[in-house]
Amino acid sequence: MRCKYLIAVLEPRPEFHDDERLEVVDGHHYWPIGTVEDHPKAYRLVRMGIAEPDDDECRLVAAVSTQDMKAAGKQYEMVSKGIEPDDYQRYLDGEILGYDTAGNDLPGPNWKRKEDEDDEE
Amino acid sequence: MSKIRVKGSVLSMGITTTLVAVAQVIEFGVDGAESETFDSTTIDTSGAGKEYGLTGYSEGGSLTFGCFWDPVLASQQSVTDLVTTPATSSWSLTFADAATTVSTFSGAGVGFGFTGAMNDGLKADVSIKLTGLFAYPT
Repeated sequence: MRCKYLIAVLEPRPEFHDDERLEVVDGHHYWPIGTVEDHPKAYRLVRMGIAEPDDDECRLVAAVSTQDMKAAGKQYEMVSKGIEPDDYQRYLDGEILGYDTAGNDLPGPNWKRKEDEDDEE
Repeated sequence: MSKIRVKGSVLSMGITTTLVAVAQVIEFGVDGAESETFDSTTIDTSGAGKEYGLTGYSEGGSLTFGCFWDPVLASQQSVTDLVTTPATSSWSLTFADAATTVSTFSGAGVGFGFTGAMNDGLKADVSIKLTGLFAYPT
C-alpha cells in the first residue's frame, strides 16, 4: 500500500543519503513532502498524520478522517521538534517555535514569556 | 564544551523505511556497550595483576527508554510489532545540542513491559538490543 508524505521526514542514515531524491537543510537530509512510499505499514504514517493515503488500500486500512489526520500531524510536528507536553498549547498558539540549545523558548509570532502568563493569572 | 539538555531530544524508529519520532518518551539511555576482552594472563605473567587482551569486537549494548504508554498510538504500536513479529529495526536519537547531532543504530531483539498504578499514568519500559554499534559521533 502507498502513502504520500505531508511533511519532510529526517533521514539520518548515511546509506540513504541520495542528494537527487532528498532535500538537504542545514546539513541534514530529509525525504521531501510528496515522497510516495510503498510499504505494508504505510497506514501507520497516515494515522500519525505524517502522510496521506496514496491508494485505496492504504485509505481503507488507515481508516482515519482528514480532520483526525491533521490533528495527528500537528501532534507529530510537536513530538518531532521535541516540544515538551506542558508547552504544546503554547506551540499551537504560536507563542513558541521550539527551544534554543540552552533549553530556552524560541519566540513565535505570538510570543509571551511563561512568567508573564503566570503573572496574568 | 557544553552541558547538553535532554529537553528537545527526539527518539525515532523506522516504522516504514523512514525514521519517525516516538511520542511520549520520558527517559532514555544506552548501557552495556564495551570493547570485548579476553583473559590473557599466563603462568609466567610477571606480577600479580591479571592481564587482558582485546578480541577486536565490541558489544553494542542496549538502548532503553520509558514512556507513557498509549496502546492505540501508531508510533508506539510499531514497538510492540517488534514483539509480535520479530524483525531488525532502525532507530535514531537526536540530541538537543547546537548541531542537532543525530546518532543512528539498529536493533535486533526488543524487550517490552508496561505497568499501571493507581497514582500514576500507564507507562511502558522498552529495551532494544543493539546489533552493531551505536553511531557515536567522532
